[in-house]
Amino acid sequence: MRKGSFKNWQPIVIGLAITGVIILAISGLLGKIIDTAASPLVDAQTWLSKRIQAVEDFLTVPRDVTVLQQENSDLKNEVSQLQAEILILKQQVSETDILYALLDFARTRPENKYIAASVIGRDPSPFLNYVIIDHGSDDGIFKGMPVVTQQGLVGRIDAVTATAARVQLITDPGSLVNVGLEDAKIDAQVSGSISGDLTLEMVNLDANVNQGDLVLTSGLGGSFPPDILIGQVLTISKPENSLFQQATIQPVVDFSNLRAVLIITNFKPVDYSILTENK
Amino acid sequence: MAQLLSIPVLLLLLGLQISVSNKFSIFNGFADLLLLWLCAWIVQSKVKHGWIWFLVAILMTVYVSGLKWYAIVAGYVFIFILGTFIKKRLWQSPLLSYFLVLIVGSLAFNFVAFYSLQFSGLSLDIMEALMTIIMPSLILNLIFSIPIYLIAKDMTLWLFPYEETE
Repeated sequence: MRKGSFKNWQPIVIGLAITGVIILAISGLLGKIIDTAASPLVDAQTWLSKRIQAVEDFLTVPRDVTVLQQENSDLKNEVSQLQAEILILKQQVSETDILYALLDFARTRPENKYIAASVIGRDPSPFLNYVIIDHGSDDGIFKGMPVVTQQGLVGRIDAVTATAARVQLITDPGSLVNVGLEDAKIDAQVSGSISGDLTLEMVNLDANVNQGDLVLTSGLGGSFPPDILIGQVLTISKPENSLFQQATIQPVVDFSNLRAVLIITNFKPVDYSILTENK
Repeated sequence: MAQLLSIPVLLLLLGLQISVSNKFSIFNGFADLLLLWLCAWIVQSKVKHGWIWFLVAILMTVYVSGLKWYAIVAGYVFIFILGTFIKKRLWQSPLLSYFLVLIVGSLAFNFVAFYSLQFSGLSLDIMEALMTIIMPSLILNLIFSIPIYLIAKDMTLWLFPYEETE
């Protein structure tokens, strides 16, 4: 009878104990009790773990050095790869900047059609100022087409192959461009030289040319479209017993650092060869 | 084999010439890598049929350069004749022959280029050309001469190894 009554009470006691634990857990007191009870155990485990780790470190140090050396080498390789990638990306950003600038220029002159090309080389002769670009007749480029950058006039197409073209820069000794001075309202010519300097020629002695005057293409002769910027007047000279005054021009285009150019494809230069052949 | 090698070697040199060489300039002059190589090649005692290298160089340069074709032909033919002549006279001293061919050839090539431009109607100042292009180019050619000569010499040893033992 007694045994039976205890058996009846057992589930009730267990249930009450579980309920009590749940109430303690809900009230937040259980954590504190567990923490207090587990604290010495955790301390003991920490102490033991540190000692075991120390022993393990002592036993495995040589192997770790090798692993670390390998990791170091791998990381160094990774760093060099990333540095190379950074360089490539910087170059791409630079090229993108140039292309954006060219695009902006093209947008300001919507009447013209352009093809962008990269400069891939220069003429092997130091006497000539030519550059080679990576687009040719396959892309619709023909001899005589004007070449510009976002800054101003570069030159014109001198020779074309299917996939490349040679551009005669305006600084070439064989280059001659008909120009006008924006402020002085006069026509003149700009010629190149073997030193790469630009000279303003055929300016009347009575013309009022000032330092800083802007020099633009005049469009006369039909070789270049009008109003493309070439540069600014730098110095003026009026030699005695000369029929014309001369001026040196500071070009707006940096010809030594030319990387990308635009070719104006819808401009047809006037071909005088028929007239000379008839002579 | 040696003749076939002229195409990749000269293509590589031409590529370097049009893309890199002009970065190292004094005034407006820069080194002519093709000319340097041809001078170094023609004075090597083991080299036979050196004219093929000159022919390939002429074809490549005429194709790429804006210079008149006859100036390029005249310049390289002069260097070939000079090199062949001097090699026969100074064969025991190829380095001396090399410098002689290089200096005379470099000056001759640039003068031919200059006068070809004048002949085509351009008004050029000889003193300006001399001071800003011809002499600086010669100096740069001399600076680059020794490494090019050593490479050319090594290549002849590699291409003609059996004649060494004769």
